[in-house]
Amino acid sequence: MAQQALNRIKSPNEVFTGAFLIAVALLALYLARALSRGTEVGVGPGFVPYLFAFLQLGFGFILVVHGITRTGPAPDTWHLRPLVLILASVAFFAISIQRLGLVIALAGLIFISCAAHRGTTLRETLALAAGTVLVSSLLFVKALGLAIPLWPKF
Amino acid sequence: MDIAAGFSGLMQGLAVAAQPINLLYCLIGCLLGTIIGVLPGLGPLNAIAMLLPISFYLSPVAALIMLAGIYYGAQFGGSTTSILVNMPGEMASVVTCIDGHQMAKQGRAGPALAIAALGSAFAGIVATLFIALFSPPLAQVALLFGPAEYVSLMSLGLIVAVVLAEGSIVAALGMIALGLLLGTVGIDVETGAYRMTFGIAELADGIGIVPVAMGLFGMGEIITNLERKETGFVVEGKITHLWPSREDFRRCWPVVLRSTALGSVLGLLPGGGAMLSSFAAYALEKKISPNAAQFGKGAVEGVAAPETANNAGAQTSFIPLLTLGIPSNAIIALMAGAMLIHGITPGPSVMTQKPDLFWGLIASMIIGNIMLLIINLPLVGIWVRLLKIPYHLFYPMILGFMCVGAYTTSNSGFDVLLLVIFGFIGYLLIKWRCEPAPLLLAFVLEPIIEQNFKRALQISYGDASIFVTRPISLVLLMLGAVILALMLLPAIKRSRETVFHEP
Repeated sequence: MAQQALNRIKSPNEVFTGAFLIAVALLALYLARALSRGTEVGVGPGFVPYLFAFLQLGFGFILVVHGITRTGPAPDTWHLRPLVLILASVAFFAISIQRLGLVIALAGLIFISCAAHRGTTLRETLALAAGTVLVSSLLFVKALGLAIPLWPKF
Repeated sequence: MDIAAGFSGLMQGLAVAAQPINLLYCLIGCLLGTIIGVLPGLGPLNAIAMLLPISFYLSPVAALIMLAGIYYGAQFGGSTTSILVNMPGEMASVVTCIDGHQMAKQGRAGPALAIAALGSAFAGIVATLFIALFSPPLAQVALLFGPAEYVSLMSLGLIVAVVLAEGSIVAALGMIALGLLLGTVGIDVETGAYRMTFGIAELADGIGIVPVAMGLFGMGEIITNLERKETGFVVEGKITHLWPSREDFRRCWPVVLRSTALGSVLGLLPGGGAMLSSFAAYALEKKISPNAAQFGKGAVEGVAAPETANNAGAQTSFIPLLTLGIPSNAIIALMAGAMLIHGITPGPSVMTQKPDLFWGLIASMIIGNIMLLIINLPLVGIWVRLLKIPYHLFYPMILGFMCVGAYTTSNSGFDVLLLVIFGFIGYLLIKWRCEPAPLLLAFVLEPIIEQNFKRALQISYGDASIFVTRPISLVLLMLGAVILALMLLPAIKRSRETVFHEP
């Protein structure tokens, strides 16, 4: 069913973009619902977000209508392996950096992101991890003095 | 009078730019620019986004000198890859591939590289003088602008960004709206109200420009690059001699002059910059050159025109930022972000209140262009070797540096999480063939637009007609409306599509 409906859409890229814009605009309208749009002296904090959200809603709607009625290019295929692993590698860094420190966070990022490419050997991965950790610790922490924890905190 | 002011300013700037520490950062910027220009799939936008956090730890002058060096340095480096590998190292060098690579195949890679570098350096220096000359009077004009005019001018800039975006116009307008909406997240400056923060403390100051820019442009690109099969680069021919023949010089100098002028003017446009300039210059020379028949078969003019123009455009696109406070493209928008982080509001006041910064930055461009000539010509062999590093050994390092960069902007893992979210959005937009550049531009401009919008309404006691009753504001808005209407005409729509698909 869903597949059939998808096939009937003439320009899926436009429909997806439009639907994405509509979704984000609706989320914004929901989040901003309590903000006042106007006061006696001028516009309130909610006025401008409302304005932009409705603008976006309008463009999103036009895109969806366009996409259903006019032919466009076929959608690109997605490859899940690089997408998931690259995003996961950065997410790992985000979660671990504060607690586990730069060395572990960065090494983990390199290991996970290297798995996104099939041909990378274990030796290459190890060398990359060692090199990146060494360069980053020396350059960012020792030379530039950025406040990044190097090792885990217990 | 203005010429004298420009000249004395430039002298003052040279004194600043020639300080050893600033020279060092200029060199670092130029070197990095060359490297990322040479490497395909890593543009100045990613590089500047990556270095933005580090620049917080430098003085504002040194930071801007370095970041600017990356932008125009990339224009130099991009030509190397275009000529030798037939692959644009950088978007603004796309058209250089056509004739540059043909020249390389004919064993004339050296002269092609030399013409590209010499033309770029000439354009860079002339365009810098152009900035020195035209910024002071333009800043005077900017002082006449009230909040209503600023809002209209920035709206015009956003509309032009739509024109230059590839793909559907409505999608580009939607990206602008999304960028504006994202820009409103955080504490409202006037009332202190928390807007759309999900109750997350880190969002109180708004969404950071670093994770947005790196996610949209850097991460999305890496993921899609990995979907393609890794192809090794074939470097064409050995570079035997560098110096172009007398014939080359004779054919190129009028081209270089015209392209410098064209690129300088196009760089001024809101939405303009290096990319637009290179396309336009190539198209112009193809029309008027006496050797038009040779274009596409290794005409030296086909290398000189885009490479000269893109560097001129890269330099002069700083003018709207430094005089009006309006970034004309996404890269300049990041520079504006860097200035704001250092507590400097881009605009006409920079010149009067921070003359050292203003003139130091401009003068550094002259020094930088001379450095780049040395970096690129004799050392070209080193940069070619960079192309032999396979991509799979290269992207994990970029990811690592991006994460460290995002983390250091606020010393919290939250900005790195934002990087994940915007990386995913960047991937979606690539898949949907939707260009994210208008989004970033709108995102950076939003606080300035909102502030001026509210100020304009305060002046008019809440009467929105202020935007159409003030003459300059009305003209700017009408210009925007005309451009938008023209774009929706079927004939122009078609030619706009062909411009992007057959450069």
